[in-house]
Amino acid sequence: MSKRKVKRTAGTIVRVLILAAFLLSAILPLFWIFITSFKGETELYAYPLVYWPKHPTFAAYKRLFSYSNFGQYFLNSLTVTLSSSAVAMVLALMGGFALSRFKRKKMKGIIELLMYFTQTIPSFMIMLPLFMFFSRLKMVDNLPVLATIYVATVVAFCTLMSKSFFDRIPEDLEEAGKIDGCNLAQSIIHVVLPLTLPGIAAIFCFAFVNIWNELFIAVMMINKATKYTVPVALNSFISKAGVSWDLMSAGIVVSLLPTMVVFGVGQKYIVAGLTDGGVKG
Amino acid sequence: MKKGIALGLIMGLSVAAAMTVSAEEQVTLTFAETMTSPERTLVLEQTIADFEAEHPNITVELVSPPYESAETKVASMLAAGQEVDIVEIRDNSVGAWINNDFLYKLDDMVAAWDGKDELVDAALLAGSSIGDATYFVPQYLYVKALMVRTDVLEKLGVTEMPKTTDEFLEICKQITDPASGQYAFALRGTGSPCKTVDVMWATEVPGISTDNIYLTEDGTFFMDTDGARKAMQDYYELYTECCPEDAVNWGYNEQINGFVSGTTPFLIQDPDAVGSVSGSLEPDQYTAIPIPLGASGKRYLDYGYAGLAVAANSEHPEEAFEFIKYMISAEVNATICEFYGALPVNQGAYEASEMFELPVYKAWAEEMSDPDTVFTKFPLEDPRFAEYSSTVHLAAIQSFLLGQSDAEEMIKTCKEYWGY
Amino acid sequence: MKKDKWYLLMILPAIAFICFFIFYPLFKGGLMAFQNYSLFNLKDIRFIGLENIKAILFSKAVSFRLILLNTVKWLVLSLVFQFLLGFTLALLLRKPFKGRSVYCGFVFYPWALCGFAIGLIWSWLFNGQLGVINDLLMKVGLIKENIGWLSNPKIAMYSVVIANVWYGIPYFGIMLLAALQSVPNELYESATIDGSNKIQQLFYVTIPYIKPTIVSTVLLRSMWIVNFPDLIYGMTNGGPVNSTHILGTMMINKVYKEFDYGQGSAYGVIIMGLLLIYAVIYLRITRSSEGDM
Repeated sequence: MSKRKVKRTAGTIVRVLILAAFLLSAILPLFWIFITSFKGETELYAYPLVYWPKHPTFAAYKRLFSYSNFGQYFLNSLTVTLSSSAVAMVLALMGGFALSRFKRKKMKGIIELLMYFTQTIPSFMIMLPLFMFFSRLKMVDNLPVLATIYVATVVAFCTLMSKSFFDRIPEDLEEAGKIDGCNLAQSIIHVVLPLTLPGIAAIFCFAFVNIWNELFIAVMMINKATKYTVPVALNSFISKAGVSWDLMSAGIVVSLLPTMVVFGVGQKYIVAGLTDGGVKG
Repeated sequence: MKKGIALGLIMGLSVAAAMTVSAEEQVTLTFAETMTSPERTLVLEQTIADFEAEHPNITVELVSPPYESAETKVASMLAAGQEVDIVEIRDNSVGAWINNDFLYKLDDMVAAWDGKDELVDAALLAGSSIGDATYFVPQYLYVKALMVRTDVLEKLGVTEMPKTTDEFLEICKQITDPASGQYAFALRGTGSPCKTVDVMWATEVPGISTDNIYLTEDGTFFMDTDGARKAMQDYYELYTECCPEDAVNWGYNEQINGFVSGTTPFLIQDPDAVGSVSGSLEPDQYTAIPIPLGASGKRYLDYGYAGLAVAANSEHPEEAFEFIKYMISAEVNATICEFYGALPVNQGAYEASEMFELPVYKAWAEEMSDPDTVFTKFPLEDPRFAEYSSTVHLAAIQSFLLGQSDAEEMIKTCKEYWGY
Repeated sequence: MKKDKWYLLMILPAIAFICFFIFYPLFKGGLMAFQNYSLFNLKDIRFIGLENIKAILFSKAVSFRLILLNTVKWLVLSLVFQFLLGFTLALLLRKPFKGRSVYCGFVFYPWALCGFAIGLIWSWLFNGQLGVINDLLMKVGLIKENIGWLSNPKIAMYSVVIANVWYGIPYFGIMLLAALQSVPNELYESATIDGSNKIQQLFYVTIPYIKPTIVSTVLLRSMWIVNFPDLIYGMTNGGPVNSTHILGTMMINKVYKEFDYGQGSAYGVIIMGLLLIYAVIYLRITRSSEGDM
């Protein structure tokens, strides 16, 4: 008995150690950027390295929000990202469910292949044609247009993701719902959806993060500085004179905030998992 | 009936409104910058506000694509026929833009412009050097010089500045002491190093053509000469003995860091580097000296520039040129160059700002007027130059410095690429 | 069968978006791969057949074999380590513990960053002189001389892969954790009763159960890694001596540095072609083994 206990404690210690290693390697690089963002210009490039700024300063953040107008970019990104991830999520839930339940194997296969196919497309291939097309419609430099394009860029993989979540929910559940007197839509909403909540959260998170961080299409489709998204703004901190590291690190720290919120809320659902007995049905 | 009157009234009012608008002729100009940086965009916005205050009928909208993709982006805008009136051109792509009919011929407007006499000769020269007409007015110029950390060198016992390439290499070797973290030269390892390296090598080669730095007057590829071979050997020694190993991957940032920290007290750069270091260094800590002379006794330099042009499909070329004139005027030109560090094109700008009285700028003036300085050009108009500088030459010289290939292989690669 | 109609209707909006905003421009972009389409010379846009692709395959400037080899290295190394480490993390997180959700919030964080920014961060960390990694290794006494993480052509590829692995662990961590949560506990219970140990359970219960997720996440991730030059672009932009140039970075350079959309798109066509071949083989293998699971 005690032998097993020892074994278990040892196991726990190993587990904790490995988890700690994961945490440290994930956090330290970002922590270094966090520290960098509080360094003044002299400490930034000082040698030997300054590990703990002696004169921590908010100067970079002040500059970020005063002249670089980061608040505006932040708002732009937030609007674009929230709206397109929400739309993409809804489309992906519908599409993923359908894809998972299709009877005709051939059609199912073709559509699925199509979705995978989109993931092979480098964004540099569609960038200029999109720009030319919307330019003809005089719809370049337009955040709603950018958001619409983003829906298309993420919807394929979101659909695939949602399909794989629905795959794990037995079809009998809907049938069971039907016997209880629900139609297809109701059985989806009342029976299937709650079970896929972690999946939904995951899909939203993925869409959000991908769109929030997209750079190349945004650079192409946005002209004026007032319509910059956050990645474009970060990219603009690189000039002929290289990277403005103080601005860049402050910008990166700030740009991480929304993903932190989405994560904080979203991963609860992802990690919480299916309630006991859910699948047992 | 009442409806009719109301309708008539509205129509009358709107006609009147339309007439007042046309009388004032409200014009909106779009200005696309390509030398974007957050600080500069701020300066430009202020400049635009001042311009609009002086010209109440003109509104200027600024387009600021991030620096790295700016040329591709603005070229795409022009290709798509978007409404752009004023574009900022860079030396390496202006030829292509002219070739694409992107730019408006400015000859008449420049001829009628009194202010053109205020420009330095080099600016006028650059402005009319490409194509069959004047397509742009430069805003500022870049010329390479050797920047030195006088304070660091003094501590290391160097007071006499190098005048020749041999002296330079000797001093570099003398001051380098890797054990104490002291190196000599802030080597440009990546990001089109040819712009620096070729200038350093060409000085060893007599008779470089004034049209193309890559050719001698008798048409030989400049790298395929004895002088260049010696320069390559020197450069290899410079890297292996006087630079941090890491320098083969250094871009602008790292060069500046090396210079500011004093690790590498020698730096060959454009004057905009002054803008980057002046925040961290006092004016008496550094200066610039002319690029050391090699066997040819001449230094072959080129003018880099960024300029302003009117887009060919602009509906308001006159107003657009009005804006360009404003941008080039002494005060504004000084303000923009001041924070940026590059050399203003307007002679008045040098008096308008204290910054250009710094000793380091005197050194630049000295180098440019030195009788041993010869101005030549990089073959920027050749569409192959972009690939050459960003890929072919880059890989060749990195591989040479790292000892993966020898000088002859490097010469062969570069020579074959150009087909000289 | 009747329901299929409804299903089709449900998936139609997604397909419509993809057709309009991805496939239509893709068609146009695909055409550019066979055109002389350079912003340097827009007056001379014309079809030139396979010239662009030929120019890439037989380029004297950069050997295509090297680029291909680098791309494979980049893909395989990144994928294997991302998956193994991500899966390990997910397994460790499967059983709830106090503060797990806070822990997850932090450990999954790298994933929330923007590609080129990650590249910049890591180039800052790997910087030979001012980089914190060299400095720390030096302090600990593991190295005596600064390592040229990004300047040594023999090391640079591993450095960019390290950054990519760092970025990719959370993806597998989250996806596999979510899948692991769905494995019914009684499967483990009955496995324990059968006397199988933890490792046997992993291979005979866990992996088969979440296999669909593994198959799709690995395939998608492979495609993304190949199409994720952003990071290399921010770190080395292909250097030194082309040792980190992959197909994707060549494509960026063709467009941003050389303004050549024709050859840029040709790189795109090559990337897509290779990925399709990869996907077909991959799906064959994973499907055929499905029977014995």
